[in-house]
Amino acid sequence: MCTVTIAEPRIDPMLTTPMVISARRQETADTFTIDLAPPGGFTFLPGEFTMLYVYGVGEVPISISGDPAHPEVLTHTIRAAGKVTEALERMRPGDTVGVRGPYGTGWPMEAAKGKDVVLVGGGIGLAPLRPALSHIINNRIDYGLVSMAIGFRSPHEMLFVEEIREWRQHFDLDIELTVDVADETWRGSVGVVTRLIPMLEANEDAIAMVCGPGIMMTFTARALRDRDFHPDNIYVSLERNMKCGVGMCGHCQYGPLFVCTDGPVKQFSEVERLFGIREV
Amino acid sequence: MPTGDITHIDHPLLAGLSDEHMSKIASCAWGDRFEEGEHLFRVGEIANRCFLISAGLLALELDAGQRGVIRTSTIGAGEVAGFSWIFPPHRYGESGHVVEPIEATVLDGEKLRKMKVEDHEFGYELMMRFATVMLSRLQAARLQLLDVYGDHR
Repeated sequence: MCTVTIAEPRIDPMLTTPMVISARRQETADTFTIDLAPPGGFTFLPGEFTMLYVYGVGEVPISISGDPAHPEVLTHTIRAAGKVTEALERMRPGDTVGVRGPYGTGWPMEAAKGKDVVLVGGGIGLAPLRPALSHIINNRIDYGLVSMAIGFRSPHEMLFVEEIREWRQHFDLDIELTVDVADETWRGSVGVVTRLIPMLEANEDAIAMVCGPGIMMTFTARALRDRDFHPDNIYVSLERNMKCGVGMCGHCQYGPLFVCTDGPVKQFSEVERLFGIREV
Repeated sequence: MPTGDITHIDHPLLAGLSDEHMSKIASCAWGDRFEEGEHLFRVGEIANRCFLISAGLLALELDAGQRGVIRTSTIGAGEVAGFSWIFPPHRYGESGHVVEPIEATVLDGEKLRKMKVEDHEFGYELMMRFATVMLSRLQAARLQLLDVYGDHR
């Protein structure tokens, strides 16, 4: 049984709302975070995404990376990897972006209530998980043990450095960080993120939320299953090229699913077999 | 350097071991501590020790010439460093550099080699445990090779 949360669009799903960039932070050489000032606020659920429109260039789906308790700021963390995201990278505070959404399924924050929670984020995949962790921190009493494993390619490619430092100061959060490769100046853990899974504190009926490249999610899900996590309790966030964002164009079709409306968050048990089919 | 007699070793690698096998291992084990910056072993040195880590962080490193020293992985509490004592030519293939002070039970690889030849049941038990750890390291290394966060467009 699917227990992901599906939000109804709060506004006309095809209507773009102009929003001004209020702040911009460079996270790494190719990744940046922008804060938008939504007129009248912007409510969303952790895990949802929006379609960001650069006028005259095009539209791109981006997961929301901000705090759902702060609807006055709409935050996205973006890796410049194509025409639209490269145009977004060139934009600065004061520039205007078009926004549609929010869309998609969110992380299972309700289903996770009363249970232990394990979050596993790899690379830019940490961005869609950040709202989930913010929600947990804001509602800490609702959840059991909470641990998070974070993996990056190298120390130079770490996102949210200050926030990770802050999260690690919470006595009731277990935040483990690793990088795939480092030089001798790095004082932290080196190795793939899956190596952290056995160390995380959680009982076997915990809810796991995993986001990162497909291959990383597959290996992470395997490591979680080795710890007796039930596949229905492992949630992953899918990524696919999108056009309409509302299930009309079929551009994001992934086997029998439309990632924009059936996802991006899905139970691993529903998508596991699709991960193994290269042609999908 | 040996710091005292050991009768029981509390480490995941040895969990569930019979008393007989545990006392064999304990007979060639000692507790030790290594400070930040020390090397437990270096590439090419004779591999005659194995380290069952109970605290701290150890970096496994390779000198990549002009690229400098590369940390291929780190290992901490509950993990094991040093497999080269098992297989000829018994020389370490990486350097073990202490990042955070290490507390470990050190095993004498030379004595262990002799014991596992003399007692095949003991040798099998030991090899299964080390092989399991080596398999997990191999799988992690494969995933590392995939460079999953790289831009492969």
